[in-house]
Amino acid sequence: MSERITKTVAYLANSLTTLGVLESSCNRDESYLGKVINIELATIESSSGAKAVAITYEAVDPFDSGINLGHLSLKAYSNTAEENLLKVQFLQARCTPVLPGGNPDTNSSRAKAYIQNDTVKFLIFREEAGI
Amino acid sequence: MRTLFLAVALFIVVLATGCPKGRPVQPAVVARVAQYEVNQLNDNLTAYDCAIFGETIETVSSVSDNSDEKTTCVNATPDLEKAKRIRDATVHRLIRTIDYVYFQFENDLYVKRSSASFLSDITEIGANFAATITNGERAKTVINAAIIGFRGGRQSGSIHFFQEQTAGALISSMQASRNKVLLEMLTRLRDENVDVYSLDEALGDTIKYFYAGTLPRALQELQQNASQSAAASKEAVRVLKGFAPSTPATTEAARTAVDALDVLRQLQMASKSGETDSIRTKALAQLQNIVERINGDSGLVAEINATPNLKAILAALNDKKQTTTGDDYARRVFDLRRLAFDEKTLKPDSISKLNVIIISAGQQ
Repeated sequence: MSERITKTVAYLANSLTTLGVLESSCNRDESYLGKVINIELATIESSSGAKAVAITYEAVDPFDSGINLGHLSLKAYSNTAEENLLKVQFLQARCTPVLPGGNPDTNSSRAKAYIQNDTVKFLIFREEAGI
Repeated sequence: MRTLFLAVALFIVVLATGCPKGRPVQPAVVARVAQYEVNQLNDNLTAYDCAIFGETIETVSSVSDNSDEKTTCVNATPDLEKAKRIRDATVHRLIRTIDYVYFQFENDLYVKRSSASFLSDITEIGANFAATITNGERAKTVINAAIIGFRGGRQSGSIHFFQEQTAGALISSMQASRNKVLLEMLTRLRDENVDVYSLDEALGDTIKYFYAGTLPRALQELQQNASQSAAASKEAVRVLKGFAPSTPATTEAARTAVDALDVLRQLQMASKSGETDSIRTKALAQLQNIVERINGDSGLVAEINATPNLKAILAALNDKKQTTTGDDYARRVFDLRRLAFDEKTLKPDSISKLNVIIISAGQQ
């Protein structure tokens, strides 16, 4: 079995002005590093414990894995009703859940990020190739 | 004059602390509805036992000791359906009684705590007012000392008796605990027969239900919730050591990087499995063109050659023996940009230039 190669990247909360900036950063990073496998709230010790978002990527075959790298969509929600609505919209657009065990029926593919001073809850789905 | 002011202050305090009412006058029938006496419970327990063990109830009067009628039973067949009905009725009557005393307690807790706080506030305000209008320094000192003592006593009482929880939070916590026990009990009463959920077990649950509506249980629940929330938030945040934060992407940089990857993927696929030879040949030519254009940018080449890993990849790309197929070209160009980005061996502008070369070559 081949060894999993992962890379974790962190963004300071104060450098993320919107969730869209995080989305762009994830898409850019995926195009170089591989698929997103985890998103976590974090603090960076060397930056005086500043709030950050840690994203882990796993190297995958960019050509033959069938994963549409760099085509992630992040949408914020604030309550269960909004979350469910977004899930339906993602599924109708034939997007697929991204995070481990990602299955819309089990409420996964949810993540949280510090955006400036706020903690934002969002769903992360991958767009179908060709969209 | 001073006496007059003090009298006015005292009058305000007394007037402003009228007894608030926390509920409407209770109809007598409400108390009757909630009435379930010990002897009624005993009768139900006997009836239940008779239904379970197969005996028929017989009521006898005890003449010798002049006591109340006693219920016993004689041999009959067991009737579990009847036992279930008796169990359900007994438990529902107990729930009703517990609810009755609980709601009285809840009302008293809220009203008494609110009126106690209100009274305390008014007393403090009144005393402050008295201190302000009193001329004598000694009298002022005495009143101020009394205010301090009063505040301290009030705070201490609050901490000791209610551990600084407001009546509203305590009541919500008690209600949540009660609902939890009640839901489980009602579900079991509905779904389970007496051979699975006996009256004895159900009676045990009614005791749990009663204690779920008490202050110690409410405080315990609040504390438990607080520690669970604290633990959850503690777990959720990862501490990164020896980490340098990255710079987020601009929309433009992200689009260029993703487009470059898309072009590489399309060319790799076309060169490998294009429908016709010309499609495959064209895709290979486009990939070779990417390498030629990289070679044509002296600044970019110099930067690549400054890093051994990148230099080796570019050398392999220029070696026609090592790099022959479209797949070879695509993978090596991908590796070049991945390493340059991951190890930050090329400047962001140079990586962007590399991506623009890939995109424009793919469009030709």
